[in-house]
Amino acid sequence: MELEIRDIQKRYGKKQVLKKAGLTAGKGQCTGIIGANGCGKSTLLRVLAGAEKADGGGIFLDGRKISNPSREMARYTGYIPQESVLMPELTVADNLKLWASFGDYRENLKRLADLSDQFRIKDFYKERVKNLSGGMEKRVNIVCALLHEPEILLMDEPSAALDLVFKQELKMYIRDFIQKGGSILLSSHDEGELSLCQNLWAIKEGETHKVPEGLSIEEITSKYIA
Amino acid sequence: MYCRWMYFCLNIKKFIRLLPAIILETFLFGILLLGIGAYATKAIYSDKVVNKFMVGVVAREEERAAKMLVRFIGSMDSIKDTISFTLLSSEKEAEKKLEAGEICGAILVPEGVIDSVLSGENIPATIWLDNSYSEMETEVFAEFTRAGARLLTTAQAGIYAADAFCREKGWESRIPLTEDYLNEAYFSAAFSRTSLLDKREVEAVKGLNLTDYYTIALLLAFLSFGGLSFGRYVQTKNGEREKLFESRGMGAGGRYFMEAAAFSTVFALLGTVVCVPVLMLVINKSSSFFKPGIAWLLLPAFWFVVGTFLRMLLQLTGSHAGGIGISFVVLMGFMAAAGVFIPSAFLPVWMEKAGRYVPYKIWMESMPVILQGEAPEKTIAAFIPMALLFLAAGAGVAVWKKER
Repeated sequence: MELEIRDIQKRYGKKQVLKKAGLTAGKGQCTGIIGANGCGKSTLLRVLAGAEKADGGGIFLDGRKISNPSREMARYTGYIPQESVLMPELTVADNLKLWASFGDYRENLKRLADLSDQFRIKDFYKERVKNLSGGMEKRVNIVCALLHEPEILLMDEPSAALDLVFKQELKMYIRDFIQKGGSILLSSHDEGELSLCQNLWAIKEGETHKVPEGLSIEEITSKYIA
Repeated sequence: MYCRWMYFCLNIKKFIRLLPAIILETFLFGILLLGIGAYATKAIYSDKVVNKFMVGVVAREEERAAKMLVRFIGSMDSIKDTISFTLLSSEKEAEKKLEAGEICGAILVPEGVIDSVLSGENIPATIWLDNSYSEMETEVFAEFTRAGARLLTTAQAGIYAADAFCREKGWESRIPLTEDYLNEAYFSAAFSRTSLLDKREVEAVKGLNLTDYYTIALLLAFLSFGGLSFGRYVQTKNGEREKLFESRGMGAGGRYFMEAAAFSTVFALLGTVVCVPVLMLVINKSSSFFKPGIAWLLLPAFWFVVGTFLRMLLQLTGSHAGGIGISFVVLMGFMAAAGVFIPSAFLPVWMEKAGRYVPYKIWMESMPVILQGEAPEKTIAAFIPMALLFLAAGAGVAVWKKER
């Protein structure tokens, strides 16, 4: 599914975080978003996940304008935010059940079995979330985002807190996901993660800029981040 | 939708898992409250006020009569723990002591009181009351004096009968001795048996003794503060998770409704489990007005309503430390105004009036009704709109906070 956004605007109080954000994330592609801290990367992903309402602009899926972004984007996208979406007092299994209950519960549970094997979370199913390490929790968060089989994956610094082994596994999963025709929009500061992206977009002063291919890290940093 | 039901069930599970920690925290709160309760009880019922308030007795002439009155009345079971009598030498001394607050009232025994009783003339004793004392003490003291006067009036019949009997038998010389004996016998028998004064013993609420009253008050306070201990674990903010819930069809209002219902359900369970054994203990150990009955099945509903209120309060003030602190202060204020700590009769008028508008007043009034085994439709009918009102208000606050 191809995702395109045009002139997205978002304001928090007096601060205009996104002035004119636009980008395209092609089907079967991994698109990276870079920018300085607080430039609006997470805000843009939240808008695309339907968790925030944009003040203006449009979101298009396969060329069709989305009329109710909040609901429709939630259906098509899986969002892995920086902040955990799990309830700390409950067990991993309980949290997964809760996220599986959004949508077709039985179908989601079937997928959960596969995803649990893939992300190796079965061993701590009965653990309370508050007792998990950051990496374990992140893995459960990723599974929650994938339960409803989204076609677009929105990842906000996904490998933060993950160990090296799981970072590699996540990369493999990303490759596998885009090979199967899924789209990924990934915000990151990690070179390794960004190396998976076919396209790079930078957000500076609330506006998006396509990063030309072939630029070195130093050039990208000086032009779009510093 | 299934996700709402799941959210409700998982929140119940969450709160039940938190119960041991909550009970421990509540227990600590309880110790604090017992301290406050003990202090309040001492303040109200200690030497200073009802428990042993001092009454002066001034004998204008018949010191013998006054001494006898003091001795008999002072030994009455119903007042010996409440009033101490002291014999004063003159009205001036009584005035001084009243002004200094050393006595709360004085009985001026009239001249020839014994003769007046014997002759049926009934010269009334003058009672001086110190208005600076609380109304409750004045009322108790006035009741004692009224009861005493009634008893003296009845005593006359016996005295007349004894006089007539002595005269008929030609035992005129024995009349004073017989009268003294009868007076003593009457006072010691009648006064200690009278139920009139016992009935007028300070009633905090109609039909409740103080033990019952403070059992209800302490349970309500203890569990309300226990409910606040849940504060840290309730979700009053709109975080990333909540925003995602919303995008998937579970909005702030609906989410609040489910979470508050789960919170109140667990709180109702906690309330019932804590209060039933305490109530059974009170029933067995005192002359309690509580009667176990079918109406007690309303206890979970009662605590559910209290739970919805506490959850609404937390939603309003927030679940962070500052918010819980504000909730604590609000609860203290509400409870004080509703007479939870000190019965309303002892409160300043403005506070008593303010108390009429806080839910704790209704709960302090409806709980005794339930515990006395009655379940009037009015009480039951009040619970449903109250719970719905608190749930709706909390949901409104949740939506408002989200929009901000």
